[in-house]
Amino acid sequence: MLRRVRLQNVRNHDSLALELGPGVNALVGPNGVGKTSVLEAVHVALRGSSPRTRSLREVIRRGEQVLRVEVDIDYGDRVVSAATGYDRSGERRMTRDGAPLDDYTRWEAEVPVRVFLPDHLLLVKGGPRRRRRYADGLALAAKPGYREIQAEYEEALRQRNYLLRRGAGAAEQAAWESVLAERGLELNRLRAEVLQAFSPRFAAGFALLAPSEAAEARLVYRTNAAGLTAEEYRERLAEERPDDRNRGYTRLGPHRDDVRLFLGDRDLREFGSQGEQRTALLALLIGERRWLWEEAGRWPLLLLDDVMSELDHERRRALFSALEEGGQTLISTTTTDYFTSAELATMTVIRIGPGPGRPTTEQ
Amino acid sequence: MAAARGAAAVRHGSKLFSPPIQRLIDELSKLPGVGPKTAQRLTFHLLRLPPEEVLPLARALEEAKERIGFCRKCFNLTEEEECELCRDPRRDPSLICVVEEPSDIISVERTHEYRGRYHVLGGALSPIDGVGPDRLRMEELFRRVREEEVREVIVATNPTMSGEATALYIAEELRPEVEAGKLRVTRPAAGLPMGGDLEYADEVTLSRALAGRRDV
Repeated sequence: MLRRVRLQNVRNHDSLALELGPGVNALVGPNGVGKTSVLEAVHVALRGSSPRTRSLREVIRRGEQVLRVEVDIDYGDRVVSAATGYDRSGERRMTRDGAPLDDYTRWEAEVPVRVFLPDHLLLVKGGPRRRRRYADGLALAAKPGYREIQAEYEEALRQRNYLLRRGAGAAEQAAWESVLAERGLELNRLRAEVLQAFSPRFAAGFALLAPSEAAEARLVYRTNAAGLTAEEYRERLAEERPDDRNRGYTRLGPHRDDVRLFLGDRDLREFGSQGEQRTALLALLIGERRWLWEEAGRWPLLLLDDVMSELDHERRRALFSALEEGGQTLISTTTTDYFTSAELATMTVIRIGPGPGRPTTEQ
Repeated sequence: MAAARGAAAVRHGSKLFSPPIQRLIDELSKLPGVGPKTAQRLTFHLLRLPPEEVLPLARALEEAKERIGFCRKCFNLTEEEECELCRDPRRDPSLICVVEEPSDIISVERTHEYRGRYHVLGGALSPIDGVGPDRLRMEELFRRVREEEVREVIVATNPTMSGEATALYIAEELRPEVEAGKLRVTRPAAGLPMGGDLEYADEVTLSRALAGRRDV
């Protein structure tokens, strides 16, 4: 779990340090004091990127050159510090206990982080790429060989795309298409299995957050290679070769998969209200959280921005009890009124005031 | 080339070294698995040694390069026109084991299971790296299959994607002979290592071993 968080020159904070507790942590303060920036900073420390913006430069406090965020991760038997520094020239440095970290993805395996920002609904509303990545995250936790199959598929795809552009004899094309078809079907099969197993959890998460909704939520796996045998897959690749050559890329295969979120027979990406899309996003996070725990034995750290104001009294209780099952959560909120006194007794409240001054932690 | 070397020199901060030292560092860093740092370390190590310890290395390099060439039949490394394995009359010429590199022959030979001939491709297909069939000894293989009395081609390329694509390519090109019933094209089974514990097998190996299971 995360223990200490220290930020320097992040958004409106010049310097801020806070102590987190296990379980649910509430960051409480009026609008504009930079609660979301604290959540953002934790993400920056562990991932080297911001969930709010593509440019870390925007995150540097105005008039300053360098931002720095450091978090202490308590593994029970030892404490490791993770830090990210970024300066205006674009230089980013991530460290683990002070030593430079070459592989930024390393923390993802050790400390998975998931974020809910009410205005960032791209996972639900945006293009399929994010949803593929989400499905990959589920599969990686549940299927140990997944990463390798996926890497092989992508390698075979690159090789075929390269051959398309360069041009090659039929036998050479066919050889790579066979390799591609085999990996593609394997990836299809694994994704289908994982999404089928996961869909009921998404439904349960959605029902928990929107109990008056009569229709059932579900995930629908869209793949353009559905139901093909290896033979048919290879034939399709061969047939599409001239057309693919004109386009310069391969159309058939799981690299073009999508995962759609449905409520009854409505595709929430196109026909969901803003409220339904937010509920769907939160349901994905809660479902994924449990999935990672059950399949990989790790609770991800959840960063929830202003989630309580969206929910009514009962839904807050339902969400809170889901969060209490395990793992650590940071929730930003304007008031503790959203929590019952019983809940407040089990959680950590961190007050952030306007202007300079230390945040206070209450148990 | 001169420009590239110049750039490399600046990168290593070589202004510090006199040209013969720099040349040695540059040459060593062209070797596979040797980076600029290792090349530097090796260079200083070599320079510290007395001449009688270093010059045999130089002579061995020269001699190996002068005397060793490729077998004209199978492209194994040899001192002669044809390698020992191709000249050995006890080996079955109707069997060809195709491998990527000469060092793979040694691995197969260690099994003492194989009594046929070999064919060294000199790599595996990888379009991105610019390796197509024309960069490998493919035509030479197909010619051997057609001209000699070959019953079986065992494609023992590595169990990587490149190795697999290479095997499929060979099978595709030899399909007419196979369909005419004159030839078999086979590939060694992929599976679990002997003496290994199932518990420690990696998932991909295990799932492929399961896919290729046989009756007992």
